Amino acid sequence: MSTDLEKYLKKNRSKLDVEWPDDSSIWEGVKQKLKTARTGTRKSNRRMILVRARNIAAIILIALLAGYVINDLIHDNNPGKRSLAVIDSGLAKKEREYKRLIKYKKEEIGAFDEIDNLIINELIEELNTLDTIYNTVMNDLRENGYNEKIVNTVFDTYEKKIRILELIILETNKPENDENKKSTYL
Amino acid sequence: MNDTGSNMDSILEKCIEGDIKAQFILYKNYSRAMYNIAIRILNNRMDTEDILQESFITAFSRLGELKSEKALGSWLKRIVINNCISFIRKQKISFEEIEDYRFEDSDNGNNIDEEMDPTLVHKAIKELPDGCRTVLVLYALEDYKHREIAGMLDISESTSKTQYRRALKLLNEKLKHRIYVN
Repeated sequence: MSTDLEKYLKKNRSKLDVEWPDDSSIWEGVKQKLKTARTGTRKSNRRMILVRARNIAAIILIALLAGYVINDLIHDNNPGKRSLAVIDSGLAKKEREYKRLIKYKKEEIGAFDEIDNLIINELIEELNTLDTIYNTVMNDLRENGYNEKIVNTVFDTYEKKIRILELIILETNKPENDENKKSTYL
Repeated sequence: MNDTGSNMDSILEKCIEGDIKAQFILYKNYSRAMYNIAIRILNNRMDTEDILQESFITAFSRLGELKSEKALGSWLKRIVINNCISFIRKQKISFEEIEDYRFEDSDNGNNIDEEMDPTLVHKAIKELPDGCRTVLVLYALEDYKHREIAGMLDISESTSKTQYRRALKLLNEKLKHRIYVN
């Protein structure tokens, strides 16, 4: 009995699978490729882990730096930038005034090395001590941040320096010193 | 059936986890069907084996995308067919336009003995020319529509239909000849 070829093909579809694959060789190939794929995945996973670790390290570093900068901006703890000017504009203005006055008075006195007077030398010693105190206080400010007591000490140091400089000027301008100077010139 | 279903579910889960024994079980269950589809399309043992390997690698790597265990068979078939189509597209097999009238049914039509040995039919299919063989396999055996075949093979729908009629005619002739020979 005959039938239409198309009908035969559709009806006997499953019976047409008559060939047997060489499972041993095909499966071996599949297994090898799976193994390679897994190794590749593991390698790429390892690479991914390294890249991620590096990214995380970079993020942490950036976060630390950002935190440091933000903290510095908020608390003003950066030693390199430490000055009263960073703390407050009013303090900065006052500090500038003191510095300008000290500079002016030093210029008035001239070079300290040229002065040969016991009292003046003692005052110069005082100035040096005030400079040491000033540097110490500024270091404290660098290390510990803003502190009203330290700021007051800084201004106190400026004032003392100015007073000592004024004393030096007075001492330098005394008549006997002028005479001494004159006698030395003569 | 439930046991079989749950067994297959468990095998699939293990396959996804990369269990090689489970993957082998799945391979053994479907390799023959997939192999026969591929060899009918490609008609080359070496190419078929390569495609089969590639298809199982694809399947194992994308098994997590499978929504239902019931769809596994057709999903695997689709993978192997797609891989075969990609392969033959690279081979640039010609699907030239042929005059349709040359393949009109003869007086007897494309009739075949319904008791015909499937092995003979399978062998006769493999002997068909590349282009029309692919269309015949996809349309008559794998239930693709001419519109789908046209899209897959980058040909027109009418070319797919013509190639199919050509394939039927040639297959019928081959089978008749085999009967005489045998």
